[in-house]
Amino acid sequence: MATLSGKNIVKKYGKDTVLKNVDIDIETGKIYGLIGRNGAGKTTLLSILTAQNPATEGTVTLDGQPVWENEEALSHICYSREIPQLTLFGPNTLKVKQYLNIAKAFYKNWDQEYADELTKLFNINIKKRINKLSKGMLSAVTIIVAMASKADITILDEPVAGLDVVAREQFYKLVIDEYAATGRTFIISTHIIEEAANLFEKVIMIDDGQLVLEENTEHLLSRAYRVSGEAEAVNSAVDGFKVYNPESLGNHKAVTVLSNEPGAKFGENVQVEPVQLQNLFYAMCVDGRKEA
Amino acid sequence: MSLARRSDKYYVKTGLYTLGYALLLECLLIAELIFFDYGNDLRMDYIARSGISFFFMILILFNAMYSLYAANWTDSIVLSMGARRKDIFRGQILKTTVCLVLGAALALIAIYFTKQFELIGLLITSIIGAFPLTALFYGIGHKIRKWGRVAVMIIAIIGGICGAAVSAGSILRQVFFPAFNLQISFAIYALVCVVAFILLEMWVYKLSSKSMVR
Repeated sequence: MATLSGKNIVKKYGKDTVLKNVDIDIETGKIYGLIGRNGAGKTTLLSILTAQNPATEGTVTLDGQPVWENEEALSHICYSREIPQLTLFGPNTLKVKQYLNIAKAFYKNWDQEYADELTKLFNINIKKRINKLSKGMLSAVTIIVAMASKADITILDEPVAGLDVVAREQFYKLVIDEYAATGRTFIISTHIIEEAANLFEKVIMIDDGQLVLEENTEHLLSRAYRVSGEAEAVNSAVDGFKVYNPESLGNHKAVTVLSNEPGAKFGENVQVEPVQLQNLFYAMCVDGRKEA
Repeated sequence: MSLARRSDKYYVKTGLYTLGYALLLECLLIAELIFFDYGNDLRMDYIARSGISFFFMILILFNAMYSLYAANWTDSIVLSMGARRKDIFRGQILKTTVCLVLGAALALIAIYFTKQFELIGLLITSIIGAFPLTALFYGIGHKIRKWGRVAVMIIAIIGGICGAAVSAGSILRQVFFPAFNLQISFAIYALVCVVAFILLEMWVYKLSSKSMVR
């Protein structure tokens, strides 16, 4: 099994440190969800992993070979990112057709038939200029490039931003179908966590330039709980656990707990409910985080 | 096909597109010159000389301007699609070479058929001058975010006009080297261009090796 690996990645922009000693291993043959708040460093991390931007410190390898300027490694990777509608000199007047032609020229395994099929599916007029596309259409173009690249490791940054619910569902289905048919690795960065949660085999959470967790989604959720009840009972029940986002209303208290293993017991005096990925993410990111 | 070959193919095509746009503009100019002479005797000699000279200038300016754009626009797209920085660096030189050499070949054919042989010297000096000028603009393109758009546009416009004029040769020979004979002044000019091109490409290589997707 191949691994895209980043070790001790640090990225600085002037005095700002955007990524702080990030260690990450992406195993092929899985669908990863990359989640984090705006400005957490998701795009920067992805661009460094794909050698689109240089890291200040650290190394990125694919199967032990450096990715930077390495044809073999790069031929297995596609990072389809947001297309800017403005260039330094004004509107991006490139036509969709021209954009797709560049992709066709550079991706080794580009599937033109599939690209045409997806263009029809998302109803994209390839004669339109990039600056004339809506947000949803732009997202569709990035999806077309990612899917038709047929790269072993395909990375999409906010692919469903601006897409309507029908197009979003079409995208999720495309990923599942493609994954089932080819076993390609997908890394999907998204803010629409609840919708995409079922898609992710593994989840990577990033906060403030640091990797908070990288874990199998099912396993992660199996050890996450929302514990509520009388404040005293809750405090006693969660003693010794990692507690996030405590909320109080009068004498009633609710906390999100992440135990080390599934099947944690909290006693009879509190209510225990499973936690959705989005709620767990929120709980881990909000202020007031504390470790019990 | 290797990444280098695919990249080269893309840049050769880009060079041909640039040449195509230059030819399109050239056709418009010829049409305009003919239009102005409509009703009078067509001054074929004047139209041919003006048209060919203008073509040299368009070639130089188009290459320079596209290099300025490329560093901030298309290079980023290509880099985001898995190209290596060295592919882009080599591709830019290839694109410029394809456009200028093919453009020069077309100009030579036009010169042959219109018998404007005195323009051959001008053609050679223009083409030689276009190489370092394109490299200069490409380097400026890389620096544009740091220096600011307005400052760079002013430099670009002044540089473009000066470069085209200097490349046009006559100014070079009459102003800079009035005492020298044509061969010596041309040799000095060519040498300066070659050295400038090498130095500028070294600068561009250094800048390209750090380029990022934006």
